[in-house]
Amino acid sequence: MSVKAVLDVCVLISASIHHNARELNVLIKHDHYDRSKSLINYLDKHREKEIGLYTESIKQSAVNCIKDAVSKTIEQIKSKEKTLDEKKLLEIFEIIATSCIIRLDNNFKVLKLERKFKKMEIGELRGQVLGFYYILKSKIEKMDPEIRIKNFLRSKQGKRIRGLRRYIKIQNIRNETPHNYYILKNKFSGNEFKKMLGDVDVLAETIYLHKKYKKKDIKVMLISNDYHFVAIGKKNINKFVPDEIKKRFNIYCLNPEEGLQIIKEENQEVKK
Amino acid sequence: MSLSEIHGKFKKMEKRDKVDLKIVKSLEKYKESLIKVEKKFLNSKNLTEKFEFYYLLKSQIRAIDSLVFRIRNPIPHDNPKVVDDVLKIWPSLQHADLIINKSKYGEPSFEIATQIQSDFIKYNLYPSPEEILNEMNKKSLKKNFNLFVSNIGEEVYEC
Repeated sequence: MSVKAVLDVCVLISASIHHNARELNVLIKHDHYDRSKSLINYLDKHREKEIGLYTESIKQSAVNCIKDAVSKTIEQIKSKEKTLDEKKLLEIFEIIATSCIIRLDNNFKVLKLERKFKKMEIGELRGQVLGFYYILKSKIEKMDPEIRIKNFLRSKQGKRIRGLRRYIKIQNIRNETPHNYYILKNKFSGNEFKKMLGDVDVLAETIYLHKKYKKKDIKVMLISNDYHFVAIGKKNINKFVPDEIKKRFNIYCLNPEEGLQIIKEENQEVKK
Repeated sequence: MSLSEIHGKFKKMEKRDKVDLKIVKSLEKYKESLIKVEKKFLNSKNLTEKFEFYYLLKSQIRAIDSLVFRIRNPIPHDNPKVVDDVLKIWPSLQHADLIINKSKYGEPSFEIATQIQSDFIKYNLYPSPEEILNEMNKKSLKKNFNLFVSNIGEEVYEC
């Protein structure tokens, strides 16, 4: 079985933010630039195999992401600086945005655009993904160790046991909680959760493409840097979200390094 | 010189299968008209709220500049290939011109600008990011680019 990879907006954006002017001793890049760009460079080398995929909605979101960052930064500067040269500010951000948009465009060229989607099917999948995230949110809320400890202590069993047994039970609840739980909780609450729902389309389209390519014995995975898709951390890794997505939709959600590893392995497999 | 007049000249060149270098003068005249719009725009109030219009205007100017450069410095077999390339991407220029001419400052035009850029890059008619960033001074670039990157925002937990 060979693989294809849908590249999420964040991967494409982080691979587009880079400027290295050696003569000026200036190096600016996104925190995830190296990991995202390595993947795109590999896909570029094997462009004829059309491993990397994107959709119109991904492209639209990526462009909006740059536009919104410009507006936000201009607003930030406006609120801080009393004497503001608006002309200069406009000139600066026109240059920054243009350089990022050109790099973004070059990154899209490496990938294959998937245009054909059945609207009805995408609509249904979107609903399923939305429902899935609400269920996930409530599961994550229920995982909160402090709430679980309070509930336990209020329960009949909790009131009955005392001393060491009580202490052990409380520690067990804490130990059962996934690593980096609070990062996950933060991601699935308040504004962060609302923002995240904007990415529902990416997963819905990936599921659609997975179904489409399954007939050709090709596995489609989603490559992202966002924790509502991929695992958190490197050492004490929290795979709760990607595991749940895999269980529910049979989609592998990986970060660019993991994705690159799998693509390389599959490529070797195909060569053999 | 209007964009539709220039379009007519490109159409003629397509029929003759040959680049007429007089087109450079027409393109430069058109660029001058864009610069006049830019000056007028830069004298208006609340500039930062109209970033999208400025972005579109500058994209159009850069596109025309690059087009002039390519006509003046043709690559082998570029005559008349450049004419075919330009005619393929003409609609995006025309679309932008409609907004620029009517000075629709409030029109959402970022996507139209990115379309021009994308089309022109496809046919080697747009400067590279390095060339564009070199237009800025080092201090200003570092400070503002870093602030911009922080606003693109992503979570990074390497725990």
